[in-house]
Amino acid sequence: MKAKAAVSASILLVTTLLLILLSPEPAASVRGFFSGPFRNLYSFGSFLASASLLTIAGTGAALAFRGGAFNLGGEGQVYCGAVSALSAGLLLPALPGNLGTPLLLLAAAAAGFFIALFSGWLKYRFSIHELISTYLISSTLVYICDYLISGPLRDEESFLIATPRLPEVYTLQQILPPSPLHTGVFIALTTALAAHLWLNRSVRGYRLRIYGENPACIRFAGIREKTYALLPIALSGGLYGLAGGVALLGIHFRGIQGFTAGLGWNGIAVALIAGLSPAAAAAAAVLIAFIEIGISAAMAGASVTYDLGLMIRGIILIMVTMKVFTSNRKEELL
Amino acid sequence: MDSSTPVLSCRSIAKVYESNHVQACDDISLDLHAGEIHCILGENGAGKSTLMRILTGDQTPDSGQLYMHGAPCSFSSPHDSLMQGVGMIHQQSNCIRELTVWENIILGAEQCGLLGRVGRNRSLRAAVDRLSSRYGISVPYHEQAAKLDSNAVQTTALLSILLRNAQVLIFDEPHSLFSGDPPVSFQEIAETLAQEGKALAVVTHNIAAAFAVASRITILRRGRSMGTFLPESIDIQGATRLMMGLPPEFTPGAPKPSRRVHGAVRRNPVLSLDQVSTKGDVDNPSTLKSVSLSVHPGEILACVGIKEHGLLTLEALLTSFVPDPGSTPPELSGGAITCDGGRTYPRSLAEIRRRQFAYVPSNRLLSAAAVYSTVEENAVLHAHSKLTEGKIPGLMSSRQVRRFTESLIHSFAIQGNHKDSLLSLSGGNIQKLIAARELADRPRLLIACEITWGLDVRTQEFLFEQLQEIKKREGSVLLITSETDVALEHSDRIAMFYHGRLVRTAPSADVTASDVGEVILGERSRL
Repeated sequence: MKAKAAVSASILLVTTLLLILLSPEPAASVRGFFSGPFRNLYSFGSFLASASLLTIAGTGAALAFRGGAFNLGGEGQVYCGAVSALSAGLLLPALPGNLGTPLLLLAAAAAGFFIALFSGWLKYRFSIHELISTYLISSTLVYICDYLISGPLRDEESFLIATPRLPEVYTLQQILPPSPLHTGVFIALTTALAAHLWLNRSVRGYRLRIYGENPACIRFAGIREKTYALLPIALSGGLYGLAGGVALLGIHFRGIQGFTAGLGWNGIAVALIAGLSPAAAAAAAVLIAFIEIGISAAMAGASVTYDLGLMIRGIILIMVTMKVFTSNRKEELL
Repeated sequence: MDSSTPVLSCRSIAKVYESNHVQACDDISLDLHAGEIHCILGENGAGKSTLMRILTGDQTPDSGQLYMHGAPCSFSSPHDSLMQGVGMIHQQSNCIRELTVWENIILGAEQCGLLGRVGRNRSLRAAVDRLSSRYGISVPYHEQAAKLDSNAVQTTALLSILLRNAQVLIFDEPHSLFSGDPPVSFQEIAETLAQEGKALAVVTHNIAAAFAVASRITILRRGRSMGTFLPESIDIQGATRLMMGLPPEFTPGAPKPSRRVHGAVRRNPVLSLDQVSTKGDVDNPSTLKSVSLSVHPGEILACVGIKEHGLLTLEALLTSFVPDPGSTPPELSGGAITCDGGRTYPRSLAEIRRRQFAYVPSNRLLSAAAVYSTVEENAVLHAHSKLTEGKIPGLMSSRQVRRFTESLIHSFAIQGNHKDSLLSLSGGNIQKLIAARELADRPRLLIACEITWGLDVRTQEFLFEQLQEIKKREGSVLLITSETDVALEHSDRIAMFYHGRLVRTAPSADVTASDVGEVILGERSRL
């Protein structure tokens, strides 16, 4: 816990330093960065909304890591989750809301689940490393989703490259209008908490953790190995898909090309900062969302260029991974 | 004995581990002279490993000084110490499994061509070949290191160290054999190296083996040196007492009145092998050839031999378990395995466990432990799905998990806390936990492989007491071990393997260690 706090503090410190060094108006940039989420109700709401999405995605990434799997296909899984919920919503426009919303979210989670499951199966059956397969499959799926949004699903009457809006009844309740904060924040908290309990206390969660550390141990215990070779990555895909669904139903309401871009990679950053703990993912998501909002505020208010913003984000990600891997340095046995 | 300046010596070495405040070394001084075989004896946790790590630059002492040829020196890393002439052959393989044996030998000494391609290194090959023929040891250069048996791994490490022309060689728990054709005993190699003027330090818990080779013996206990002795000036009992800090009248390992099996044979055997052969090359010593044996309720049957002469195959065959996900367990090519008087023997570890058979694997630290997880998480590996009677249905109850763990800790006198990471426990305590977990369910048959490996005398004794308990309640134990003396002392019957064949089975009370030795080394093929 102490280490995680130290990581977070040093990230904020480095961001500040970078802004001071690189921004033409250091004072304004730093002020913009730190006050970013608190400027008004709108920015506070979008800060929390973005944190909720990151929490779900980060929980997903953490589950894969804990089970010893690398899911680098978050981008595609989130996008497919969103597009699958979207298609379901457009195909079935007349369901009641309290049935339709869960159904759409389920469609989103299922899409991510099965896409990732396929990578897990490739690993189990053909020893194709999931690091490669998740990434390649995801990159392909991004183009397919782009095509669906700009082609078959496109709203012909709109000038935007976007799909028609989903029926109002399916969308998640807004909490803090006019900000985009929505009931998805509760979905996020529930997801992180449930995943935490499941991972740390359930029989399957226990096995997943042991499998993640030493697969031979699971076979030694006479437990079916295949389940745990597939489960972590599939669950992780499912949560990524869910994150896509919540983004659609809570914030965008319609498909726009690339509207979930970045969530997959940021999910990994969240999981790493959280030390791969689902409960800590909520806190780590708040940190990453803070930085995102802060940087856009700094960009908007104090002529920090877009490139500088990207650079700072990149440096933060590098620091996060660095910290995580050094603190987990494995000591020699015996 | 060379009384001149020692090649390597240390004075007043002290080391405290910050993580657990254990004083691993406390004022230890040691001299290693050219031409001597210096055995360092101690129980688990006596400080042997730490001292050796300090002597090879793997760790730095808190205080104390190292000297090479009388001049103060320091090693910044194992590489540094090797460059200065101190090399170590580790207990566990530090081969790189993905490389070939040859690449492992020359790693770090190789000459690279343009673009970093490792060249053919003809001069190196000639040098290694010379070493190999000088000591009569050989390894398959082109084999992948992952496929080597433990003797060959040790031989690879030795060749690599010799290639750097190390003057001080430190052996950590050496195996008794080096691979070659025929295999060379450790004693033979050690004596040759010593005659050539190299200084040898041999770290071991096997007192008898130490007395057989040592020119001097240093005994460590709880991080302190109990003294350095000539083997003539101390006997095995005396050394054991010093190691264990016991009063003089105690003699560990004194033969207990052995209980011969009465009437057990008349009942159905728990496990029975009938003319069992495994697929594979007949010339390969590890392929089983028409092995017949049975284990009866209330008996301890020991299978002894060289590991690679069928013991490892037998283990994998009876458990359908290989830790390496890439390889598959051996397949039967003939014969039949049955259990409980004629039923087909299960072919999966899940089924085997369902029959209340338990298994302590020979490579248990690799396959039976999750060392970065906690003691608790490791303790409940078999029991976890039954510990779900907590407040929230479907979840494991932390109270039950803790109680279960503490009962194992208590009954096996394991030093450690239920929330500690397994890695923070000493090797002996990890092994106790692994055994305790298997015995918790009162198995009807325990397949215990190399159960004494890496354990001090006291822990060994403790585990054998537990095996006697199984026997008392009419359970059975199949010991598979390459440690003959231990097997003889603690089993009812002993089955001797050589070249994949079961050469002889006899009541343990009727044979001596030298009888067994002759059989398993192939010196007497049939009795």
